[in-house]
Amino acid sequence: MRNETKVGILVVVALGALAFLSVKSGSFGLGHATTPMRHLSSTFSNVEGIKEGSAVKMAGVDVGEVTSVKLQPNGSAVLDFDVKKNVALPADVTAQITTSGLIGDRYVSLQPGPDGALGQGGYLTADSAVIASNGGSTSPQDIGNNFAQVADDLKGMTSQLRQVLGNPENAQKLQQIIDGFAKFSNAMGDGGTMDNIEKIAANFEKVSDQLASGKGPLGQLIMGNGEGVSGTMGSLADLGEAAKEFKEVMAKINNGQGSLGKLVNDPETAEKLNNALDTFGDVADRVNQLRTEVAFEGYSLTNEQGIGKGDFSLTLQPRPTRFYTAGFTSDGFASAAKSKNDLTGPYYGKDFGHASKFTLQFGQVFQDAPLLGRDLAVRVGLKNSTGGVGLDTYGKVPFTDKNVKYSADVYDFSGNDTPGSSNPHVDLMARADLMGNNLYGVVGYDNVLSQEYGSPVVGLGLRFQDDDLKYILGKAL
Amino acid sequence: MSAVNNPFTLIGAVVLGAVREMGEITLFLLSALRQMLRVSGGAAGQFARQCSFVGVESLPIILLTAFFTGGVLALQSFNGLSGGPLVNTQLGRLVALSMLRELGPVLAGLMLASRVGAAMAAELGTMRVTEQIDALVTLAANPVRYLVIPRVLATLLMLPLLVILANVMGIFGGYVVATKVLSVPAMQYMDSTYGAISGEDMTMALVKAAVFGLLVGLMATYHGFKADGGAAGVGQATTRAVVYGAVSILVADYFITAIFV
Repeated sequence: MRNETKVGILVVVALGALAFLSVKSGSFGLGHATTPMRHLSSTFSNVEGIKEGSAVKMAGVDVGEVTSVKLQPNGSAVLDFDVKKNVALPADVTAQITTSGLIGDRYVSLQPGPDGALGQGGYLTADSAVIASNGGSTSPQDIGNNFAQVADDLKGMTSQLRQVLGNPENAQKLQQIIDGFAKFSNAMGDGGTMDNIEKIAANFEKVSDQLASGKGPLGQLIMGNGEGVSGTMGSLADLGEAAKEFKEVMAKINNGQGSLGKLVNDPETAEKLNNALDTFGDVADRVNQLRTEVAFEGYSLTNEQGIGKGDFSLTLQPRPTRFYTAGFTSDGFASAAKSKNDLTGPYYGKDFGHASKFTLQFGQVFQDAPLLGRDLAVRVGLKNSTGGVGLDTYGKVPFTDKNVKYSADVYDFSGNDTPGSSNPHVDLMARADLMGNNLYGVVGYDNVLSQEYGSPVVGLGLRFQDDDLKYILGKAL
Repeated sequence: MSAVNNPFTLIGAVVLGAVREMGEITLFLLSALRQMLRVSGGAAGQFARQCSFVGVESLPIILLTAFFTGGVLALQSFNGLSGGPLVNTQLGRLVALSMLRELGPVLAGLMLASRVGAAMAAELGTMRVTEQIDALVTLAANPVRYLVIPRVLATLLMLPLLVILANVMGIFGGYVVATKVLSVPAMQYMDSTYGAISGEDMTMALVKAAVFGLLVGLMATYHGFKADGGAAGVGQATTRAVVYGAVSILVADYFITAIFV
């Protein structure tokens, strides 16, 4: 592109931006020279906050601006403002200075008068006119003043009220009023209310007569004689019998007869019970303390073609410092070696051991290990069908708060399961939770000491712990 | 009073040196102005190339500066308003006015002084110390007309355009920070921006930009022309061009603001 072209584009873009800003900011948009304007003026007692260029709005819409602010000899201020001619102003329009929002810019607000608001009355036709104003400008201080006035009135009212109530004369008067009211209600009662009350009393008398004479089941129950009382009496008698027997049982218990009695009275039995409960508690604790974890893991070796390993493991941890883990691994190398599908693959025919390898290790956790300052777990046992040891420790993923478990495993010390190698098989892994407690990611290096078959790995694992297992097993049952 | 290393002698020497330097710059400017009215065909090609260099190629860095300046303005203004009730209505205004009246022209001018001023001073300085300017004189071509005028005209004319775009970018930078980081409603920010900009602000920005452009071009070409003493001289000329350019921009900024406001 030629220089001139580049410069030309820059000029056009810059001038376009300038024009855009000008139009948007309205400094040329209002078009003082082009749009026909009506010149209005209004007198105010206070034009605080209005200056040349302040907006004039009607119903919140910008219709013009203030052109001049002048002080008159009598202390009032005259505002001259231009309003667009194509805005229809009612003939009795008034101007008021208001604020947009509680603390904001001041502007002149045009409001229709009483007729104009109803749509009656004519429209302003003159090119220039003097319109009425609504006095001065309102400010937050005014609102404050209004509130102060209201508060004063309220104070006056409450002080008067206090006078009325506090005065002993007034208290007496109140008492008289109450007395009068009582009399009034008495007079009311003398009429129909008293009749009703009498009726109720009569009914109650009847009922109580019946009860007293032992009529009806309730009466029989209370009075206890007369005919046809057998049913009720029967139940009463049963109740008596039950109470008697209960007394006998209680007597036996008190005497130390029977196991319950022994329990209550014999200190030895109580002790034995306590022991039994303690032991049960211990067992329950132990059972609660046992932590179980089941994990499924799968990862793929990034440097080898299509090789992955899957791992299932069950870990039992009876106490914080001891755990046992058992599991089996499906070895992708070994599967590829034995698979008849791909006879030309790089792994076919080589000896990687069995496709399924077993792991059974017991581990000891050293809390706050001397050099590391964190927990260190040491595992010993069978790893992937060969003898092996392992180390686990914990750390934090850099820049985050997540916990990560670093593991190192050394097994297959004579390199039997790695063709062409006599070095031990060393795995270095890091596992960190991805989502909640169950999904975790695996990153690491498989077979560090082997040039040919060692590879970085990446994968995912799914872990179920006690609560999850209880939930799953509960559902299954 | 007759000792040579008297402190008064030192002060006098410094002041006289400064005045002499200003005089030389003024004479240089006058000769440039005299020549400016006679831009011939040969110089026109130079002019286009200089305009492209000053305008188009400075654009990315000036826009970047302006964008981040606008963002910083939004953040600091927000802080200054203590995030209170005034923020939504006043933030756009603060950013726009600061950019338009001061920071847009001054920062663009400073960026131009560092980039373009240094380049021009180095170019002309090298031409001077390798005697290419003398060669031009022997070929009866006026070096001022051929070398200085296109450059000064380019800075004078391009900086206002760059400043317009820098202001827009600064407002946009403030917009992005205000709406995405400070959660100011976009409509209110833009309304307060448009409401705050007046013709006077834009005129002031353009006048400042023109003056700053002239100063940058002037300082760069003057010092380039005066370079002396091989590579070290060229380095010195470049440094002086940038420093003088920046200082003169800041001083002129004050005077222009004082006149306008």
